[in-house]
Amino acid sequence: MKKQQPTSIRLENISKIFYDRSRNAEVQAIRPLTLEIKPGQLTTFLGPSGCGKTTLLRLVAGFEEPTTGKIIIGGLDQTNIMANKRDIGFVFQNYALFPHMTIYDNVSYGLKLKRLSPSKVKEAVGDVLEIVGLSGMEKRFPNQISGGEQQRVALARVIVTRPRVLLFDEPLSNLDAKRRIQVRMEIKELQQMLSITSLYVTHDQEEALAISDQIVVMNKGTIEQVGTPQEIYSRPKTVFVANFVGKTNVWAVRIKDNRNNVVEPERGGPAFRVLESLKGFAKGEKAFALIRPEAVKVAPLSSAEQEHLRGKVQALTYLGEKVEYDLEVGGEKMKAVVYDPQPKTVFKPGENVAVILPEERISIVSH
Amino acid sequence: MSASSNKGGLGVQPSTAASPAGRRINLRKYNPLALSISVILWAVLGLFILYPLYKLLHLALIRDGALKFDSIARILSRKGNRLALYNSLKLGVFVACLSTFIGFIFAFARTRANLARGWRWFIDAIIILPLISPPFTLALGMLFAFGPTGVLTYKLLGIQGASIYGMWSTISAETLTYFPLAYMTLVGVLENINPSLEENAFSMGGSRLHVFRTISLPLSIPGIANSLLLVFSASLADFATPLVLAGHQFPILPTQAYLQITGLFDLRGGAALSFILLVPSLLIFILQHYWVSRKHYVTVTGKASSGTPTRLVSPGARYLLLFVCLAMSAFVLFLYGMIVFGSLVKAWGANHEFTLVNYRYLFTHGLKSIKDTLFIAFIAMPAGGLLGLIIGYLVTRQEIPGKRLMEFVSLINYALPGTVVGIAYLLAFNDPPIMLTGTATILIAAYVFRYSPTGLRATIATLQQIDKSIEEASTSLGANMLTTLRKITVPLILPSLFAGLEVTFTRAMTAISATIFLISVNWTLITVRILESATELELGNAAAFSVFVILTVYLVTNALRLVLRLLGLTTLQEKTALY
Repeated sequence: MKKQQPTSIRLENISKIFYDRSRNAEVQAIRPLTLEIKPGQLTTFLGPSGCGKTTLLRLVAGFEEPTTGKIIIGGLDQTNIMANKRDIGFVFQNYALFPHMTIYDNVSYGLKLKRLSPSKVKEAVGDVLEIVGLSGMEKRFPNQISGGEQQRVALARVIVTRPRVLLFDEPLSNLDAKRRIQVRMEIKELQQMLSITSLYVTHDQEEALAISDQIVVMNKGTIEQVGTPQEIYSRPKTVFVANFVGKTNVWAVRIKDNRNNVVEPERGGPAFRVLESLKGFAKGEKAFALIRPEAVKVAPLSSAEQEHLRGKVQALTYLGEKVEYDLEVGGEKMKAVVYDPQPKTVFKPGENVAVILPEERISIVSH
Repeated sequence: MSASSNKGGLGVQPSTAASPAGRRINLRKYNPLALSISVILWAVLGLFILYPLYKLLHLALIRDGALKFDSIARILSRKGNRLALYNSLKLGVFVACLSTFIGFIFAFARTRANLARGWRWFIDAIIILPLISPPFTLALGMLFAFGPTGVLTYKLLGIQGASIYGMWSTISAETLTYFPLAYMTLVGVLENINPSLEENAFSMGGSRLHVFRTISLPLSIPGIANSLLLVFSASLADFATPLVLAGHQFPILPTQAYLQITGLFDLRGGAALSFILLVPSLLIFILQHYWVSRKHYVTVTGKASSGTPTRLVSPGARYLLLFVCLAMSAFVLFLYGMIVFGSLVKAWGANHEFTLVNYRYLFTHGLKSIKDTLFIAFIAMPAGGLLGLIIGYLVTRQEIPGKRLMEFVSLINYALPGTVVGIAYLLAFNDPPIMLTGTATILIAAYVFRYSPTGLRATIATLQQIDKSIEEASTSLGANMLTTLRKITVPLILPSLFAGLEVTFTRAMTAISATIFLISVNWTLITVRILESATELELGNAAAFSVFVILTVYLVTNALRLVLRLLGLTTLQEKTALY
């Protein structure tokens, strides 16, 4: 299969209001938002259930109409174009294979609608089934193959039509953990090979980090942050993002000096410096300081070579590759993770330790 | 924007602008086509289900504009009627228990005894016979075998004037008729008990009997309860078998109601008897529909790993099960053989010379009833099938007001005993404003509204399995609405339409309990002719009519299945469970 010129997607001021008949009320599923999807990339919509990510995907597919805004695909306004004219491939959560058709008929369905000659249909179906590793299964019915195989048929059925855009709605949620990792790598490889602009909906942060070129974190119908997996993980812009993608320590602080980047904890304790510029904050403004558990360093009090806080080990979980500590630092609870722990350096509950917070690893986000 | 009722975290906020009037039904929010169709359906359901029921209840319970139970009291003051009520309940309990017991043996053998494929096929073939025959075929067979001139009693044992009529022969014939119903309810339940549960109990050291008693039996209790209820209400409603076999010593409610109306012309009394019959039937239906069947479906979803041979059945028990099943099957087959034999001899019990005179009678004197029945059945078939399909589609795929109620009302005539429906129709359509007595319409309507629920239930079950995303997948692959309907939706629901067609046709050919009140000089039915012949002991004619009905039903249902297969579609997997 050849690469094609990748397509861009732009969502302009998109919003969606549903009418909930059971409560006789309107529900705002998506608040007005604008989003640019780069061509050829795989972009993930990540968020908890009900955040509007699937609705956004269905709006792009044309299964729903936006209440306001425009959907621009490949530079053309597609807002009023029917779903069957958008040239988009949609991979459903439950695969949505046609149960009364064989694998061959399922995969050739879109091609036949494009009125291709039978020989070309046969060739294309044969090619795509080879790519997804299902050659020889043409005559079977969907209920005669495994879940993983059904997933591949669903994928083959959409990529065989060479759509401009691929949409994935939690495609791995019906697979077991091991298959999930395997299939997500396959999806990523296939997407890169064909370089089709793709949108991918998931609530699994690990999946999003592993597969995406760009992640859009959503919550309550709005976008919380857009960025690469590294940006989202290491520089979360909100407490929600920091908590949803990975684990994080959060504590309330007040900006003490916005020029020299100094903050002080709300509940007292020594002020500290961060590397991040605080020019965007006013002096005395309330904020949150965030630090990942694995960025927190724990050392014996005796060897305190640098600026540190005093902490006390409350509990620990030894997991072989790492130790997770529950610490108490200046009246606040804090989690720390130490990788590759050696028997001598594992602290005991009740022990006092030096807690070092590297200034370059602390993020300050607004309240 | 009012945030007061925000459920938080879900990003949903009810807008205060949406509805100042609260929960008022806003008709503009519904699809106009679906809404108009539902209005028409309500009119039809109202006319053919609610109106007759109202007329019946009115006559039975209302006098001088007030609720009075004196009609009921008057009916129950008669000893014969009290006896009939008692007999009906007794009959129902016996038949329900026996049928469920035999059905369980069959179902257990079928699912656990590792029977050879040939035996399983044989059992399934026998099981289907009572379902496609007129309801009193087995009663007729009993007459041939054990009646005054019966093969076994008279010929073999030389008993003169053996009396077959009474409770025990009624119980036997009904049990043979209804155990397939119990079998089909139970086979689904037993198939869905995960064999690993039984194996697990085994590996923990339980004996075979212990495993059966503590695992298999308790897990099939919902199925057993369902089977008991189904067979009890079927027996309570059965009219034809007692009419042939019960005799004068064993009056039951449906026959008593029939005599009250056709013999004594006492419409109010008939209505009162119907009411007494209606109450338990409707209660059982509600219990079965909303309680047992729900529980039942939960266990049925998700295909369990069936087919793994279990060692639950010891070799000895296996042969015992096989023997019991084969003996029962052979007996059923023997009774059917009696009917075929009886249709081909000159005079049953006296002259067993081969003759076609009974079939000649069928196509001369019986020709009118054959023509009438076929006409009615072939009109009722598409009407019943389509009605079930449309209501099923409407209540599952469209937003219309009161759709749950519509589903329930559609099922009422199916839940009520045929006798009650027949009397209600008689009361409703005998006088203006709507006079239908003596027409084919009333017979067709009786069948359509009584037997379309099978197709309706099949349609609902099928549509609930077809996720909306399947249609969306077709759309996003480039198909327009019509193509999606033609290539996806219609092929997926056609099997349930065909199931509806099959059942409506079969019942229009075989059922009698409702329509016996509605026949006239203009329109008569084969089943009524069979009953007349049977009660007048013209058994040869009755047998020939029965053979004709069974063959016709067999041919037409198989033709329907063939059409479905030629369309490249499979029949519904549990097609037998539809009856």
